[in-house]
Amino acid sequence: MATDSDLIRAMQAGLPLCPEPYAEIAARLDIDELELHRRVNQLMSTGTIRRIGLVPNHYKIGYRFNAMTVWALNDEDVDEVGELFGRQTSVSHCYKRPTYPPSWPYNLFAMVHGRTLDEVNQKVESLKGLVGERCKSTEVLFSEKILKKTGLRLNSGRTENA
Amino acid sequence: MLDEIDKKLLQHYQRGFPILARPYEEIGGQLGLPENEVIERFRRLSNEGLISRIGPVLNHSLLGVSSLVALAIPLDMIDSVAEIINSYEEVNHNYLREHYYNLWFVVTARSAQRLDEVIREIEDQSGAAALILPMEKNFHIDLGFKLWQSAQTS
Repeated sequence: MATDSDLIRAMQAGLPLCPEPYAEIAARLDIDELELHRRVNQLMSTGTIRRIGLVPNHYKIGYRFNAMTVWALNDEDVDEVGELFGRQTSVSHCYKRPTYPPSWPYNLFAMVHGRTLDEVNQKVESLKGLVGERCKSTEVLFSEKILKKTGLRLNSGRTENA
Repeated sequence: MLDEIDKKLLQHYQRGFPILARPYEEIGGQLGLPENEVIERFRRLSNEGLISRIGPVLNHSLLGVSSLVALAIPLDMIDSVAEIINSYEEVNHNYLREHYYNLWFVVTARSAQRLDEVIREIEDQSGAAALILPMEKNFHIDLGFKLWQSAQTS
């Protein structure tokens, strides 16, 4: 019987572009197609699969600039500012992370993407406006080069049930 | 060039891709297109590299333990250190950024012990002390990436 890991491995390289893509995946797993639908829905409801859909290549579509913005906030302000940033359409990821003062005082990270440098800078300025005086210091780290980028995959070494 | 239909396909099907026998026919029904045109458009967008794949996006936290890691590496050593970092299958992102801490990568391992081991090995081989920055809280609900204002209506 195919495990959840088998199922994810069979799907993660991508659904085939044919009229019945799930039937093809199910055949590879040697399970019934309806069983595959049921188990995919189950993995979505448990959160193992966050979503199913196309994964766009931002860079190719024109989003050439990405900035990691980092913010030093008082502990009591992090949740409120994080939730505020998390609601902005300009922000694609927003996380709280640990600090290492004095060299790394930033506890909130927000990723901002844009087609031009100006667009990114405008988005960053609007975040600065939102956070106001709660931010003690902030930096913007532009990406110079993508050195490696692969979708998060289950690989052959991870045999435990996802 | 992308037309409005391409934009809708790219924007609206980052999530909620149908889980049924003929998903492309279902999408065609939603957009008023025949099934074969939906497939042909996805094929063209894939061939042009605008789509990496159509498939599941997995939840990191359920697949293992992960952390963002940053290193400060002298510019003339970037290539050799990046090669070491990228050689780990546990590393799925690695960016060069404009900062004193200039190498930023994500390590996802099957256990906390393996995560620690990978980071220590990279520190040993690069001679740099790592900033280890695991996510403590996520404030963004991931609904996919908003590409165009104009294709938003659905």
